[in-house]
Amino acid sequence: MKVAVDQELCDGYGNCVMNAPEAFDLDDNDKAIVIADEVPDGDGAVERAVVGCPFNAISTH
Amino acid sequence: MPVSVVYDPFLNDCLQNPYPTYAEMREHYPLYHNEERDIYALSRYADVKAAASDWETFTSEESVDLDGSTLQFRPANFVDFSPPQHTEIRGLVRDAFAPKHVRKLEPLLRSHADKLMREFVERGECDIAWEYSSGLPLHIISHVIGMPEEDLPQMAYYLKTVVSRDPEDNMTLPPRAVQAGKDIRAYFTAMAEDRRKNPRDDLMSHLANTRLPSRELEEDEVTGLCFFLFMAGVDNLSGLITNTISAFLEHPDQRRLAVDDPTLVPAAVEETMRWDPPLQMMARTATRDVEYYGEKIPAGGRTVIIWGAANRDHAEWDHAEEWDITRPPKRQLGFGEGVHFCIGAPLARLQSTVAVQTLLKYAPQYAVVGEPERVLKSNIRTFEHLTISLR
Repeated sequence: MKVAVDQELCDGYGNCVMNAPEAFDLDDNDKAIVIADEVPDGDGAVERAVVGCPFNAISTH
Repeated sequence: MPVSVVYDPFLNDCLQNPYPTYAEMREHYPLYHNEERDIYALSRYADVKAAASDWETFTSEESVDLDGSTLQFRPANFVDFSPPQHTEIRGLVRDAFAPKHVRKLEPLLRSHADKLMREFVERGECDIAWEYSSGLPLHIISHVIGMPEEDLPQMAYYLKTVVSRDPEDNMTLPPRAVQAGKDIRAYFTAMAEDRRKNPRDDLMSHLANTRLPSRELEEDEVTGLCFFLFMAGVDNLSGLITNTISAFLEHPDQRRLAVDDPTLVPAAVEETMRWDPPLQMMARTATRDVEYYGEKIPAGGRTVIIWGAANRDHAEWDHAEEWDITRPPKRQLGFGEGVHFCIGAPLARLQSTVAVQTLLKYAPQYAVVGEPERVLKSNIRTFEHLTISLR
């Protein structure tokens, strides 16, 4: 499965980076970026990152 | 329709166990009005989430505490601000709580939790709420701000006094609480002066020597901000740790699961934040008339958004009234929503996880001793004292 961050919505709180450091990082502007091309379906850490985003800025497809 | 349920967060009954009241409200009075106190309350997940996200309709500017506690952090109480001022002040401290810095704190956190726990096991029992759940975060946030260890007992005393309320009138800050707030500010003022002369690698040095993008930072803002971070960094977090420890007391089967597999602890912390959040609700003020279910909150209406009620909404969770650490991940509102989402959430989650894992490692069979005592502050739900045996 692929992960995407809507940088317009992201406010840089970094909860996704704490939840799934292998999939997310913050860039120099404190916006979340996706660093994994592909993550396993049903990856618990990524799921926690998706639901834990205060701005619902992360989606999977 | 006559209202048959009383929601009054200042009443002892509600402080002891608000959840049956929340269930009634969600079911029958999704827009609740307490006429005596003239406060409105939202309790359904969808309503609470939407209201918390909409800072323009529901402003925080009249204090997010019904008793006005956050006004003590003026003039930098960004928890009560709206964008763009909120964004600017929050930006000053955001970096200190960013994941890269939070991760660096983990070794200190683990070693201090070990140290405390060895001491408690040796002694045989401890007040887990005060000595551990507050003691550990106190150590960590003080390290972040840059306070020397020898000052902590005095600061811990002030902190305890600031949040204390008198049972006969818990709506008003008693004089001792107001004084302790002034003492904390005086401490941070002196510290800021020192860090201007002798800057170090700590948050106080950063705040004392920085400015906002649009203007200089006032002295009062530096101290107010430190006061707020110090309070939030200890007091709200201690509730999350204590409530998780308490939930494991009530659920021995799930405790066994977590003792056998400590990687379940982060989920247990998250589930506690859903099921029994230490910060139960926050206040907002409607900036215009808002309609819910054919009734309305008038412009200016003080409105309580109840995280603790929203988080047990049956429309969102199966067996919502039960604590279940094996639930699939889903968004709970214990850390808030939108621009006012808890800035310290990554640190709070990490600290709670380490604290609970360490307790389960040293004393997996811990048990309650005596009668626990609850905090009697309207928006807080946790224990003031919870003594446990560790042998």
